[in-house]
Order: sequence, then structure tokens, then C-alpha cells
Amino acid sequence: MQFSFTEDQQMIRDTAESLVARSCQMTEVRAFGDGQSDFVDALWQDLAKAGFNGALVAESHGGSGLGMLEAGIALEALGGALAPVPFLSTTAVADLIGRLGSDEQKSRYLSKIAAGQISAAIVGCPDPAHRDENGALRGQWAPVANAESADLLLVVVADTATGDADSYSVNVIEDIKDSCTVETFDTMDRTRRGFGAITLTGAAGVPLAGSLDGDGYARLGAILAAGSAVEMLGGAVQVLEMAKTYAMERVQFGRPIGAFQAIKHMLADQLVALEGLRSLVWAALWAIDNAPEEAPLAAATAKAVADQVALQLAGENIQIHGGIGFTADIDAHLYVKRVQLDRLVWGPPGIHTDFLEAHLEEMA
Amino acid sequence: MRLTDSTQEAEFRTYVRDWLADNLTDQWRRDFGATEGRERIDFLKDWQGRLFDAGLAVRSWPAAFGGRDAPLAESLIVFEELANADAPPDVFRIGVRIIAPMIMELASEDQRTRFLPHIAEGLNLWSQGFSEPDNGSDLSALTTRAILKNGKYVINGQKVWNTYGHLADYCLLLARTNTEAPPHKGLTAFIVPLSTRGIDIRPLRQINGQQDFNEIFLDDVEVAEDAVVGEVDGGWIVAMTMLGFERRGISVLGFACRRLFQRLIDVARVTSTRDGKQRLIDLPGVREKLTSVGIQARIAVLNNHRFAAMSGGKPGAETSMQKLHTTELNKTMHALALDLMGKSDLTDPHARSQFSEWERDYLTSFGMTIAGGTSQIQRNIISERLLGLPR
Ligand SMILES: Cc1cc2nc3c(=O)[nH]c(=O)nc-3n(C[C@H](O)[C@H](O)[C@H](O)COP(=O)(O)OP(=O)(O)OC[C@H]3O[C@@H](n4cnc5c(N)ncnc54)[C@H](O)[C@@H]3O)c2cc1C
Repeated sequence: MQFSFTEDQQMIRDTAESLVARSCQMTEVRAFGDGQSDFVDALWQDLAKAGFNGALVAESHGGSGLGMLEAGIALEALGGALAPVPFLSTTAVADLIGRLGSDEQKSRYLSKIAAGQISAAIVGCPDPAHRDENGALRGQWAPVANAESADLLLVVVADTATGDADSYSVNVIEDIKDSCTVETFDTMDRTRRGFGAITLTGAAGVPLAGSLDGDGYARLGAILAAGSAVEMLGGAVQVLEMAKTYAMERVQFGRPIGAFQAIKHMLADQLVALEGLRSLVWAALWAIDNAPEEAPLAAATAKAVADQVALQLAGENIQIHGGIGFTADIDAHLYVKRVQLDRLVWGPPGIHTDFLEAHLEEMA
Repeated sequence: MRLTDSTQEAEFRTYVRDWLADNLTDQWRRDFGATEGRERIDFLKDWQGRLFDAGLAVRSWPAAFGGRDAPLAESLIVFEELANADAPPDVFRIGVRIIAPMIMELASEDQRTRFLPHIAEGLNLWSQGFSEPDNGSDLSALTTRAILKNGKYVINGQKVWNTYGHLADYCLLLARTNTEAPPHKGLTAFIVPLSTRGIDIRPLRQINGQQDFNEIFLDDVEVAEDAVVGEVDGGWIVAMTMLGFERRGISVLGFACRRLFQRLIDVARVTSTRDGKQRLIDLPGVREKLTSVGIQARIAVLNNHRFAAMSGGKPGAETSMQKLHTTELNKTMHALALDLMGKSDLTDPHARSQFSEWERDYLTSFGMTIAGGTSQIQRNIISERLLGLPR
């Protein structure tokens, strides 16, 4: 085993971190949340230029042909900065089109994705769409990330016709507003406007050429779970940094509050939890690229723990800040709000723990 | 990043597995199970000698001291496979994993060549004499005195919780040589043969029914000047170095936790509820708890590999996170084991047959969140040294 980043991966990490620090400052995130800025595009363009949007796109289609680990590196930085970009859904969509699309479909979408010209949303994993007795596609999902501004919507559809429970097709919808109803879904997470409730209304775009088998569906689930987990890890790292910094600055009873053991031990436990999450997250991302048979369990584990640890750290950060933590003036609340949405946008809270409990014997 | 064995590592793992299968036979386990006290230690000395001959005892030590110059990753493979094979308790851990690495770093050339090979081969059993009745967590306040008289150090005082002292050949003892200096600048580390005159060792009865740790009374115990390890009044660095290695050593418990998880699953699979209608594994509450510890066991294993890759050989404060996490997890898992036992039909003698072993292991798990620095002390270290919070 060599559980550390290679030199190349470390360079990619440095690139991602400095890019995000430059193009996604907290003042801008806040302005975006207040509806006063559309800087998203600048960040999106910078990510594309550095090759991140095309991490899972082959070089022949203008991508960088990297892997989910490298996409995860970008996601960690984006999560830390509370970046309002639909990186995960677009990455998952690029992966599906690359795997299942015809040459024509690949040419049509992949280079645009890699170049940052379009963004995508995805529904149906979990809860695939199905066909009703008349053959019309049915399905509804909420909240869906990037529902409002996606150029492309992918719908995962259960293929009941084949009689195989583990067979899916994937439909691409370009004219989203005509094919579905998209209702605004206002959430407390203002760092990502544009969540929506999507209901299919019959028309359902064009299927990708290939169909998705059980392994492919599991890969998609793993990408979404581990991708979301690494984004949450990024947030948790920032939250602990914030809490720690405040604990050293804030003086009460003549001492920095970080000298009180109640605070110290809370932060020590946070670090232990965070490092555990870190191990799980990178192991899951690595497995997606290198050990697909292990990926579903590894990704569900990472996400189950992220759902719990990221929330714990974000919540305790408010407590450690005292009264100021309850104001909208500092960033602490933004992380709690974001985590709560992360916990439900890729499946209801608890879904990953349920999955693990169902697969308990395989964990041993 | 590579979270799987390289070809070379895979070959080595197969070698270790095969070797353990050949040597940890049922007969061996039965013979070992029948031993007690000193006989048990002699049995384990023989076992350690065999591990050594097979190149497994001190894999990543320098060849000069009996090792194979192997990367830390190979030592981890040895520990993983020992845990998977339910190997006997590693009573040599104090010498092999705590004292020897410190000796390599801080002791004289003469001490290295004198002591290290014997530790490696399991010829000598070592113990650690730090804690005292009045000074445990606050180690630097210890009061056992060593005074230089006529070219010899004369030691007086009392140690406690000294593991294996009653069976060991040597004790690495910490004593105060300077009462003028600040507490942690007046300590010196000594290598004391436990057969030295003036040493009285009294085993203590532990909550798990075993007698592993001892009180040691030192009454005008004389040792030569060359018994000093490191600098005179430089005992604190010796102690801190040993504690770093000790905490890393304890974290191999993470591999044992993974093995324990498998055993708990096995127990839940074969054990019926009291009414005989269900297997424990089918109870949602049991699945939930097992899942939770299974996740943490995975974390413990992954952390061991990640921190090994990170620290490049020398243990740092990150070992406090491993120590805290694995020993607390170990405790949680053993408590869960008793829950599983409790849910089973204990009127059935077969169901009862393993009960007392689980009880004993449960009780043993309490010691590990205390030994090597309590969980609270680990949290202090993590917050001060890793997070930089004020003392
Ligand atoms: C199984 C076992 C094996 C051992 N083997 C050895 C051995 O071989 N050699 C050896 O020298 N010692 C050994 N020890 C001793 C061990 O290192 C000490 O027990 C330990 O360091 C705690 O010291 P203490 O027992 O004096 O408890 P105390 O220090 O009195 O602690 C009592 C309680 O107070 C808490 N506490 C103390 N200080 C603080 C603080 N600053 N902040 C917060 N909480 C605090 C502790 O966490 C604990 O809960 C062993 C102990 C056990 C249980």
C-alpha cells in the first residue's frame, strides 16, 4: 500500500487549491448568495482551463483523461470554498456520456463540457425513472442540484421491459423546460441557488446509445456518493480551521477559550473524526478508479460518515463561536446550511447507512 | 496512491500467511492455552524466536540489529496477518516496539549492540518503569530518586502498573537525578536488570483476572553509570520518544479491530435470540451497531496505512489520534460483544461456552484507554500539538 498522493496528484492538488482561492473568494460566494453576482462563470471557466471539468472526459474529446480521484481533488477545494458551481453533477454526466454515448453523442457534448461551455444536472440515481403503462417516462425528484440552470439533464431510467432489475437506460434532455416541470426549490443553502423540483411530463429526450448495467449504475452511485463526500470533507476541513483559529483568538476569563479543556477536547475529537473521514474519502475515490468492485461499499461508507462528521463539525463550529456564531455576519452558518443540503440532495439522509446495514456481511 | 499490495508486497503477504498457517497450528494453540506464568513467557520466547528466524519479528529494523531493512509497509503486513491469524499476545511489544526503537535513536553504540539483537530474537523480555503511585499522567513530577555515589547510581522509590515486570529481564526505568532543575529536566533513563539486588516486584490483580502489571519497590538499587540511556538529566526525551513509539505500537490494534469485527459478525450469524426464532444478525438494532463499528474498524485500518505513509518512519503527534481512536473503538466493540452474548440464549451451554472469554476481553479493553497515556491525555496532545491550542 502507498496511501499518499503521488507527486502528480499533489501538483494537481496545489493547482486546484490556488485556483479556487483565487477565483472563489468568500465575499463573492456571499454576494452570489444575495443574488448580486454571477461570478460563477469565471470560476467555471478557470476550472475548465485547468482541465478539471474534463477530468473524466477522454483526451480525444478535449478532456484531461484523469480519474475520479483527480476530480475529487477539485471537489475538495470547491467544497472548502463553498463554491456555487455544479461540478459534481456535470462530472457524473460527462462520465456517463463517455461510457454510453454514441460517437455522435460524445462529440456533441463532451468537448463542450470539458471546455466549460455547458453544465449538467442528473436525476434517477437513486430512484430511477420508470415507464408507465403507456410507455411514457415518469419520475419526480427534489431537490435536484443545478436544476434551474443546467444546459443538459440526464435521466436514469429503469428498464423494466428487459425484465432485468439491473438494467437502465439513460436519456439526455436538452430542452429541459419543455420536457419537464422545474419548480424552484428554495433552500437555506444560498451558496448554491438553483435547486429545483423536477417532474417528467412525458417527453424525455434521447437515450444514450448504450444501456447502463448494474455495475454501471453502481459506479454512478459511487461517483455521486464519494464526490459529495469529498466536497463535504473540504467544508469540514475549513470549519475546523475556523473553529481552531477562533479558539486561539477569543479570550474569556483571561485566557483564550482554546485553553479550556471542554473546547480542546471537542476540537481534538473533531480532528480524529475528520482524519477518519479523510481516510475513507480518498480510499473511496481511489477505488472508483482502480478497484470498481470495492467502490460501491467504499463510497457509501465515505458518504455515510461525511453526512455525520461534516454536520457535527459545522454545528460545533457555531457553538464554539458563541453569539457571533449565531449571526449571519460570519461564515459559520453557511457551512451548516450547505451540509444539510449535501445530506439530502444525492439521496435522503440515512440512505448510505441503510445500504451498509444491508451489505453488512460484505464489510467484514 | 495505491491502496493495494504491490507485486512484491503481495508475495511477501503470501509468505507471511503460509508461514503462519504452518506454524500457528491447532496443536500449538492448545499447548499455548495450557501454559501459565513463566512457562507461558518461555513458550512465547520460543514463538518470538521462530518469528525472528522467519524474518518477521523485526522486519523493518536495520540488518545490523537483526532486521531486514524492510519498509514500514512490510511491518504493517506482518501485523495485519498476525491479527488475521489470531496470533498469541505480543508480550515482547514493549521491548520490540517501544524500547528498541528508542535505543536505536538515543542509546550508545555499545548499548545498541548489547541489547537490540536479544530483544529482536525474544531472548530478553523488557518492561517499562515510568508510572508511580502519585504520578501517572503527570509523569514529569515523578519522585523515584537516582543519586550518583562512588561511580554508581543508587535508586530508591516506587513504580507501579509496570507490565510484565515480574517476568521480565530488564526495566527501562525513569528516575529523578536532579531536584534543582524544572521537573522534566531533572529525569534520567536507566536500563535496570530486574535481578538487581534491592528490587521487590509484586504482581497486582487486574480487573480481567490476570496479573500482568506490578508494583516495583526500589531499595538502594545500584546500577553502573553505563546503565544511563541518553543524557544524564535527559530522560524526558527518552520517555517522549518511547511514548511516541508506544502509541504507534498500540495503533496496530486497528488491525485487531478489523479481525474483531469479523468475529462479531460470525457470532451474530450463528447465535439465536433467546426465543430461538431469529439469528442476531437479522435484528435491525444489531445490524445498525455492527455497521457502525465496522465503519470505524475500516477507518482504523486505513488510518494505519495513511499515517505510515505520512510520517516517514518517525512517529509524531498523529499517533495520539490513532491511539485514541483504536483503543476507544476496541472498548466499544467489546461492549457490543457482551450485548450480543446477552441477547443470546444463555441457557444453552454451547451459547455459554465463549461467554467468559468475551467477558475477559471486554474487561481487558478498559486498560488500553488508560495505558500509554489516557484518552484525555491524548486529547490534550492532539489539541496542543496538532491543532496548536494553548496549554
Ligand atoms: C493495562 C495497563 C498497563 C500499564 N502498563 C504500564 C507500564 O508498563 N509501565 C508504566 O510505567 N505504566 C504503565 N501503565 C500506567 C499508565 O501509563 C497510567 O495508568 C496512566 O498514564 C494514567 O496515570 P494514572 O493511573 O496515575 O492516572 P491519573 O493520571 O491519576 O488519571 C486519573 C484520571 O484523571 C484524568 N486526567 C489526569 N490528568 C489529566 C489532565 N491533564 N487532563 C484531563 N484529564 C486528566 C485521566 O485521564 C484519568 O481519567 C499501565 C496502565 C494500564 C491500565
